[in-house]
Amino acid sequence: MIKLKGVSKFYNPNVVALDDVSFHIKPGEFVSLVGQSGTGKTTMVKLMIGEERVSRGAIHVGGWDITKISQHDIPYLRRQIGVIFQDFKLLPKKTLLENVEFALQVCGKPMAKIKKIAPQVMKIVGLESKMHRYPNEVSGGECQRAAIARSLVYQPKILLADEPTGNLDSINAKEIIDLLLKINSFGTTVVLVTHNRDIVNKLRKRVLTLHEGRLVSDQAVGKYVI
Amino acid sequence: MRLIPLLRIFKFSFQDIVRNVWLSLVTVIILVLTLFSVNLLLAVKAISSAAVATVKEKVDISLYLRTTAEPDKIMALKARVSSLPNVKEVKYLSQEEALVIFKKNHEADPQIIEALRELDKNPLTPSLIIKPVDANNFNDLINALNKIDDPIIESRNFEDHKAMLAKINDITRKVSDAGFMVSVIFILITLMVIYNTVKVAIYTHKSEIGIMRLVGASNWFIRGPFLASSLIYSVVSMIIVVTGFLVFLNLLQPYLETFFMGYNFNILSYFTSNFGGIFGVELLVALAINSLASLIAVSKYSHV
Repeated sequence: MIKLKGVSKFYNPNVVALDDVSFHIKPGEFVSLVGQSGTGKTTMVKLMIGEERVSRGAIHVGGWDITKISQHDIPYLRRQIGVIFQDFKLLPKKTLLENVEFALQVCGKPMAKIKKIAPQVMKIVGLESKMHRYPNEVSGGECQRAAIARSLVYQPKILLADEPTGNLDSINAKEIIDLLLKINSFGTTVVLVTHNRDIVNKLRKRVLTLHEGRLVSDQAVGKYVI
Repeated sequence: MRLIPLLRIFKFSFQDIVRNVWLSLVTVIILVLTLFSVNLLLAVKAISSAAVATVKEKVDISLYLRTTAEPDKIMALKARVSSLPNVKEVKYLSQEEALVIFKKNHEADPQIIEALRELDKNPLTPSLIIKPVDANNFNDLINALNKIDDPIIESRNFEDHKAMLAKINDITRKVSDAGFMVSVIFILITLMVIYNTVKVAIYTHKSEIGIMRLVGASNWFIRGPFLASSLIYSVVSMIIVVTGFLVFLNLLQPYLETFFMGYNFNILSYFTSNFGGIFGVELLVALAINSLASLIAVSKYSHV
């Protein structure tokens, strides 16, 4: 599903974000990508969604060779990869439902289909009663749920979660992780990027550990080792 | 399916225009001023061309003949002048006819009429009045007339006509040059304004664009609303200019009628009969210029 082979990313010859990273994530896996701040976790996410180009090596995501992907194909790649971030990236002047609908609108889906799909995904993430509220009228956890709902509208094979609990308290964080596990149970490959030790240790799932841009550990049932 | 993104692009574009209403208003005003200045230039050109044509129509050259000239010699000279290139018409004006016309032209001036009466004889001379085919080639005709050496020619004085035509042509050229400069300045301002409008619109939609990219919107879907906005600005400005300018010409026409008394010139008809040629081309040029400015701004700033 996701395959990295000798991936390096240099911003200039002296700034190495990733150095010769290789791993393989199979379909349906739940993998935590951990490491301290500045170890290249977010760079990894950016490389996987085609936001940045690798300096060396190869990345295959869901059948796409990211190293050779054209600018024209990147939007189609992103419709197959759901991405959520620490800051939710919701539009403040749209309701939670409208934020989800927006993702379908900008990709040209017919309105009838949008009106059918959007409420369904809101129900999956447990926001059916609050979907008409604006982001500033709900909690951080609910905003993140809405962001997850938005990432699910295309039924992606992969969900990349970049520090999804970074802005949340422990209760909301647990709810989001439970939601990610639920999504994973439907068959979606989930990559959780985090530096939250407690969450990773409780998950008892595969853990990839990055340190100073290098992959230092790959444990099938791992713990936060650094 | 292709219609849905297109309709959505225009929907988002309308939303952008409404959200940035003041910016949109300034952009449209600048566009209207530009298009108005271009049309004003066209109107000035049309009016000055008509004025020059009217004056040129009135301009003719006279060869003054001796009073003793015999009719057959006069006719021979008339035939010779008629055969010259760029001569449209040669009319013989007898001494008596010249006096009648002179009296008519000066009937409001009793002193001149009295002076004429005190003279015993007709002081005027017969003449050949020559109308050129093209007043722009006046010099050639004057040179050709100067080469005719006939003893019945008493005098030739063409300098007045040359000076007047030179003055008219000079004024026309200056008006055209000034109008052209004003239009070029406005076009440059338009380019900059549209460019900056799109740039500001992109910055105000920074997070929206980022989210569009994140969820897989195509590049053209992201850029489309900004391009569509510039097209909407062009069309709206054109509608305002066409309406406003035709009203302006309608108000101007009575004044022009007084000026062009006896001549068939209607500035409103000039614009309405050339409606497609003038406003259609202007719309196409405005669309092209605005699209160009938008494309440059979008390709430069939409990667936020």
